[in-house]
Amino acid sequence: MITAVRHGKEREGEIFEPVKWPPKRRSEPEPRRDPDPRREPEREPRRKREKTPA
Amino acid sequence: MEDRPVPDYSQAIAGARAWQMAPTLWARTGGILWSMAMLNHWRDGEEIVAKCDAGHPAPAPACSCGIYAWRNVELMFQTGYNPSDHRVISGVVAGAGRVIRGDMGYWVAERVVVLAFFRDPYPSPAEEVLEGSGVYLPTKEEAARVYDVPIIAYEDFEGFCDEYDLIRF
Repeated sequence: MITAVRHGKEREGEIFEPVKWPPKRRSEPEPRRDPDPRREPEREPRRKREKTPA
Repeated sequence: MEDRPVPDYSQAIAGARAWQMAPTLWARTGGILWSMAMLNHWRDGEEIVAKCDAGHPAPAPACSCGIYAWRNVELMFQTGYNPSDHRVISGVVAGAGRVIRGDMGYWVAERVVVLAFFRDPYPSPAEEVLEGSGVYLPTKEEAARVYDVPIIAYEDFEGFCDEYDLIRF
């Protein structure tokens, strides 16, 4: 059983405080504002165009 | 309030690591991802924060506490921590807070999040917890869904880290 570990002396006790946490993709696309493409918007049934007298 | 030293870096550190997939229904309740020794579980989709039973801040130079990751994919492979069957999954992590860089190619951090999983040649089989139960053990695809992260190729590690502004050593 490991009770103590020597991590080596390369670097000890560095502090990483990211400005963005959790990290985000640099080119994160803006959230889509379009309606969910899986749901087709309900459309009213097409009415036959009535001819208007000239 | 804790008196913390001035940060050395304003970005997170990049890492690659592997986990055991939860092998039982009981383990699944703790999380899909478990440490390789099955001693610690990662709560699904959450940041993991290291705590030491000894009471000191984690990680510490003479203690095994903290969250571990290899600096890159090559080191994960060289040390044999890459997946070699469907029970193990690997991915990209970001570390923050106190970090100790070990001389064996790994780092140990205070806080870690999962950013991606690696595609590997060992797809998860549909494995029922109990025959006929209709309850299945988690798959690698499910892990990606639950963590809401992409599945990427090993060779995309460097580019992926650049996209997330992670520091690589």
